[in-house]
Amino acid sequence: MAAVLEPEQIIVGHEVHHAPANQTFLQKYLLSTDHKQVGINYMTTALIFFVVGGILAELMRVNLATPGSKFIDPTTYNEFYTMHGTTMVFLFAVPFMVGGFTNFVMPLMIGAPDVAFPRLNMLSYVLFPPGGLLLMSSFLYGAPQAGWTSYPPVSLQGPVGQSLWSLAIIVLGISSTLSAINFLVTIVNMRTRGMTLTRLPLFVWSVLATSAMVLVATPALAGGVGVLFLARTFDVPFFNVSKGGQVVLWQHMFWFYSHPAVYIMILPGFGLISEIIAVFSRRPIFGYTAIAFSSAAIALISMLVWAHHMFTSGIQPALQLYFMLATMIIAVPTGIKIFSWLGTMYQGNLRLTTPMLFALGFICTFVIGGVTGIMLASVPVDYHEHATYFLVAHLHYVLFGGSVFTIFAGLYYWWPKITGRMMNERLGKWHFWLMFISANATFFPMHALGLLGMSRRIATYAPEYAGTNLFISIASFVLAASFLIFIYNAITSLRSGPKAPPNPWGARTLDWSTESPPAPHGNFYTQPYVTTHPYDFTAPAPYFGKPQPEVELTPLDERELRRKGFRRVT
Amino acid sequence: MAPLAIISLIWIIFVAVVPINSWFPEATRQAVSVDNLFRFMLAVGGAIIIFVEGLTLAFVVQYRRRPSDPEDAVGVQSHGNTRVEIAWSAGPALLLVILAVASLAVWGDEHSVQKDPLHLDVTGYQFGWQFSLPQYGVKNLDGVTDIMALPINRAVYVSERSPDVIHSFWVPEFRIKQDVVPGLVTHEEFTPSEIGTYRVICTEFCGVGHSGMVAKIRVVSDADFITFLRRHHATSLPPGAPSAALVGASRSVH
Amino acid sequence: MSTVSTPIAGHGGGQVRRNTRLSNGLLGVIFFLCSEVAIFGSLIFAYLYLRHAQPHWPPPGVEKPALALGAANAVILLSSSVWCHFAEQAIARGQQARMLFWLALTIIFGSTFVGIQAFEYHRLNTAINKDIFGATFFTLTGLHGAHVSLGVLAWLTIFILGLRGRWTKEHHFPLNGVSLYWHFVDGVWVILFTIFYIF
Repeated sequence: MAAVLEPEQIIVGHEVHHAPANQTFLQKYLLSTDHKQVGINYMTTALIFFVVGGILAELMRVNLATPGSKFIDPTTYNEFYTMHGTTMVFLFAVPFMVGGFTNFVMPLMIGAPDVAFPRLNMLSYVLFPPGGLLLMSSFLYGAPQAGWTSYPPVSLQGPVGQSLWSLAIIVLGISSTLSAINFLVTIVNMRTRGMTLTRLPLFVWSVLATSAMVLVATPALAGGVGVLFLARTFDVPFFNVSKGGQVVLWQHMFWFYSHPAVYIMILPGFGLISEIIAVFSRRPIFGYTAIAFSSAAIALISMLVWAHHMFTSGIQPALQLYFMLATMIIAVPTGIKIFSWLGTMYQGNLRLTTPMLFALGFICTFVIGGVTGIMLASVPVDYHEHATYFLVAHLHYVLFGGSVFTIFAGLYYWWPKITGRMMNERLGKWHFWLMFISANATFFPMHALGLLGMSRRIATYAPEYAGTNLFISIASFVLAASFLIFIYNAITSLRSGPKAPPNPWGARTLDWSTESPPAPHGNFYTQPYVTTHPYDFTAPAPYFGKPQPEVELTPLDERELRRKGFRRVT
Repeated sequence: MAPLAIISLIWIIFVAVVPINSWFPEATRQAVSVDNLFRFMLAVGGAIIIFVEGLTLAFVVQYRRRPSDPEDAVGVQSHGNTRVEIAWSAGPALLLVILAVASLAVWGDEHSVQKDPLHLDVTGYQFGWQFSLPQYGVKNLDGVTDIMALPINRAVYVSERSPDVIHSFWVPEFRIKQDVVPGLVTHEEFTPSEIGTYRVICTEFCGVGHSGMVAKIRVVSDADFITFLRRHHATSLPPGAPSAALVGASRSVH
Repeated sequence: MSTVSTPIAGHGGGQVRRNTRLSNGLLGVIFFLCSEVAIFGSLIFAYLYLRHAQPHWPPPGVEKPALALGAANAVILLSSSVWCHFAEQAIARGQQARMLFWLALTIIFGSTFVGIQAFEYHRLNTAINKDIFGATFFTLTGLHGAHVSLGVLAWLTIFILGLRGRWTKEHHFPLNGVSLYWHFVDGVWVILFTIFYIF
């Protein structure tokens, strides 16, 4: 609900900066230095790549629907699974979480007018589409086939596309490292009045931890990928055994980044789930301090567990034991979060809006992914299940059931703020239920396939796995269809959705204390300040945006909206 | 809470009692340990999933806003409960310690030095397998056209090598795999315990022929193993074998 | 609850309020250097890993670079850190001429380092793709040398701008930023010199 403003709070001649008139499309949108537009750019581009990655997956599933399928040849299949993984990680999940949500939401949440270095922010985005196109261009020259993990010596044998892959990863890595620097400085130095670290919304805590991981892990990947490029192009023998190289070295360099990468892809999601559950339970988040600490703990420990991806790679037995124990420890802070979310719902007053449904669905799927993760952390179990469909099931439960679900939760939640329009709730619910059911139907049977001996990264399989694979393929087509509901909802909302009020969900964080969308450059009309924690639903919601008359809906409007599936939410 | 506890108990009993191990052959002694470890984790993990998903559902039903609630109804405004938070941090930590100890036990079993093991040399190449038994002079048995045999109940110590790229040697029924890495010799150990014919699968992507890099391996009785050795022109036999002359008495030239 | 509020002081770089004693720019440079630690760290790890796997180091037939020349070059580079520190001190006191003098010295010493390194490269009897010593040595010192070269270019730019009177007692942040970068690059050289030349 918009707070009533005292006259003294309105500043005459406010200094919110407006963008100059007569800007070209390029200047106004793609080259914008406004963090909100940069965030929108990232989200739009990432969603396009999500579709690309999804199409690749569906083509693979068509091939896997029957054993011995000739739908695509093995080389093309290998290209597809490599590009599917690479696209989803580097062109969708990381940019969406880091470049998309963080950019749009974080400065608003801390009451800042923008990030610390807006032009650097623009540069970060500008590197993203070229990096993506560079990666996609590898299809023209023989796409890489060694998986997104790109192990040498196989990746040394690959076609030119493997080198293009390396260059693209480096470009994208520079982009996200620059973002991390920007976000860290912003959070450390640009919090508004009263925003002490103990009053920081949990999304900001999660982004702080994520940015620290990006800062330290991404350059390590650049080192490894750079060396791979040198090895391929100039025969630099880092991985060439006959000249003193070591093959397993790549795996250490790669996983040192790529394990934190999976936490980079989920931690902001954890943060926004905390926000959503608190808002739609109408009570403070349970265990705020524990959740904040657990984000930091996860960030730190995740840098120390990378070789649990290498239990079968021939590493020293003592190392295997260390990494097993360290990996199991991460379950504790993650479990703390899940239990805290449940604790928040306890004795709450729950509103089952679409973002809340996605948050709840996320809890249900992520716990499954977490449990299978602990199973894989156990070395003897991993000896059996590594590189099988059990692993594929685990990673999709945590990446789809985890990251993708949180991305949709966040999209539905912040859609009114970003676009100034409301999404249709009924379509949103259809999207959720169809996606939730089909995602489980697609990925759950993969556990059994792996336990029963189906290896991963194969274009064809033994006949005994045929029935299950056909079921999975059909479920995956339903999964793709559920996404179309979202697209339709999004387009109709942008075209003709009802205008969004400043705070449709009745949240208490500063991102909801402006108009929807916030003022183009500067966000706030008066300096925001906070005096309490961000989950106090008994106090009135703050408002620091442009003064607006209360818009009264006539009874007729209200009925019209209800018929279309909208519900008034406080 | 109580119904969930009951459902979890039913689940745990189900996992403990139903012979799910037999749904997929366990062909080594280690496979039995690994399967039991997995069952233990399945029981515990399943209980956790039941609780988390069950509580989610229960809370949605119990605490959802009723139409009669005012628009600005809120939940209880407490911030946490230190005792509960400690409990749900310490509880899982304890559980993990138990899982770690159980895993260590199986790991130790898989890495213990066995007396007088059978040495099996495996070479994985693009795109097939070659096996050797150096103790008996069986060299370079082509996994594509032939089938290696191992005697039942004798510990096997595998040494794996690759001349080209990384592969991974996996017999699903044995429950153990190790990558075959150029520049290294990697090892695994197991003791076959069930007679049968099993698939050897490459589980590390190795190129265009990766899907087809499959071979077979057999576990046979001691007598059949002797027959196998003779057929493959072994230069020596295990002690206790009938002392008929070795076929050919010349080194095998496979 | 107070109703007094403060107008926003413009967006982005003009933001006056900050939560720590450090400026945004300085924090930015510090975090950037953390990322540099990560990339050099991963390559140093690679070197140590590969070297540990070799029974003999350097591999047979390969010679390490001469210790004496390497040590002299290290002294040259490390002293340039002292000169740029004096330049910072000078402009902090408003002494333009002195700042320019020390900047020039920094540039000369930094360029000399690169030149001597190029000479060392020429004298080595291996190449980046010939053996594992060449691979690790040239990759790591090459990345470091690129950083030194970029640093020299940055100092040159600062010097030229200084000639035009751009830096004052109040506004000379780029000097501080590049100085921090320069100290870091020299610190990396201490490590590389130790692990390649000495041990």
